[in-house]
Amino acid sequence: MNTTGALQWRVIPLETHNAFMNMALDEACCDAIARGASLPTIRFYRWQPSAVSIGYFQSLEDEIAVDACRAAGVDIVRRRTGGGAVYHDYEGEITYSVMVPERDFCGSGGATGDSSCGGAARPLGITESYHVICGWIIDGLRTIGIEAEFKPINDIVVPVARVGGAGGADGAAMMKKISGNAQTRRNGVILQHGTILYTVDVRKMFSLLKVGKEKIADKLIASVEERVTSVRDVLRDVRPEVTREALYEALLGGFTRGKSVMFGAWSDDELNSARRLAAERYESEGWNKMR
Amino acid sequence: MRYIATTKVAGGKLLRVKADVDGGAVTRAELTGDFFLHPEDGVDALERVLIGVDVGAAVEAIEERLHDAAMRDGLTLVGFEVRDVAQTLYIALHSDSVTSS
Repeated sequence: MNTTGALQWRVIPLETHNAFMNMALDEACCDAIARGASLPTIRFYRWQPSAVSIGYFQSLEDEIAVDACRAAGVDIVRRRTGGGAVYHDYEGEITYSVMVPERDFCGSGGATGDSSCGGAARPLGITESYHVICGWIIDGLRTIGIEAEFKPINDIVVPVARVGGAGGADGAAMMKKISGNAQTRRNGVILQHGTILYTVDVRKMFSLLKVGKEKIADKLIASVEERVTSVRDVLRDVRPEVTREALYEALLGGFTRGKSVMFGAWSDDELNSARRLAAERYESEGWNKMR
Repeated sequence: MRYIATTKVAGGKLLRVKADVDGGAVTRAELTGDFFLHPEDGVDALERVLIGVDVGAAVEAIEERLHDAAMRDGLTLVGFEVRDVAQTLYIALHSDSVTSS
């Protein structure tokens, strides 16, 4: 923190790595922040090869169609964060990570751009911090014409009008998920990461994930595919020209508005540490098949 | 014998309990799902405390074990509660066993 109390952030601009390196960079960055060697950091990234990530508590075999992933050349990695299974399509989504000391990530009630501590602002708890960071995504989406809402605990949804259909006589909008997020707090550092869907091949997604009937048990809809949407789907009829680059710029704006930021790069220590973590943890069967 | 039950917690998170039973009591338990738990390694404590649960145990007794472990280890459950774990284990123990593969 600088002398005026405003939190100084480092932003790592959009980059692409494989699944193992992406997770390893998150961990290496958190470690560097914990020992004071790095600033609080916001990063944006894509996954190449495309990959599925599973939450820390998920059973890999229960959640992932492993043979389908192998056939499609899709990597599989377990995250350090809880939450569900996510398909990270190289062409279809942008992922972010926010990494910041718990004691420095504050608010005074309501989601605002200023997350610095002092005065009435105090360190945010888990549910509050989801709300604040998801608020940055919502701000970004608004600038490209999407009105999204935060759905606790960790989702961002967009109302999509129902078009006729049985049971849809009241014309109520269906809320479809456009972003999922997950958070862990270790060594006094918050890591929250999440995806924002630019375009989604729902059939491909659900060919790689095993979706149990329990997940849709209490819904009156026939297909899990109907619960997910993307920037391209939402803007199809009104702004079909919005590119993935435009989405990235919009997210960058939403994440950095009201903040003191410097655009930076990984330190040599972070990169070396990440390469080691990717090889020793995230690529290992012992880690990925832990549950 | 292995018993499995899966429940969908109010709010949308999925919780699965797999329990191995021998001699009328749980010998091993595994909790999986898309929930959040802080700190994450607290799941080990919750699983450990289910060892020894009698197959005829009441939900409240199971819940008390889990509650005590969560309190002792300062665990924060997000998207589920210890009651959900207790109820899911209870359902598992009262369902047909599955063949382990």
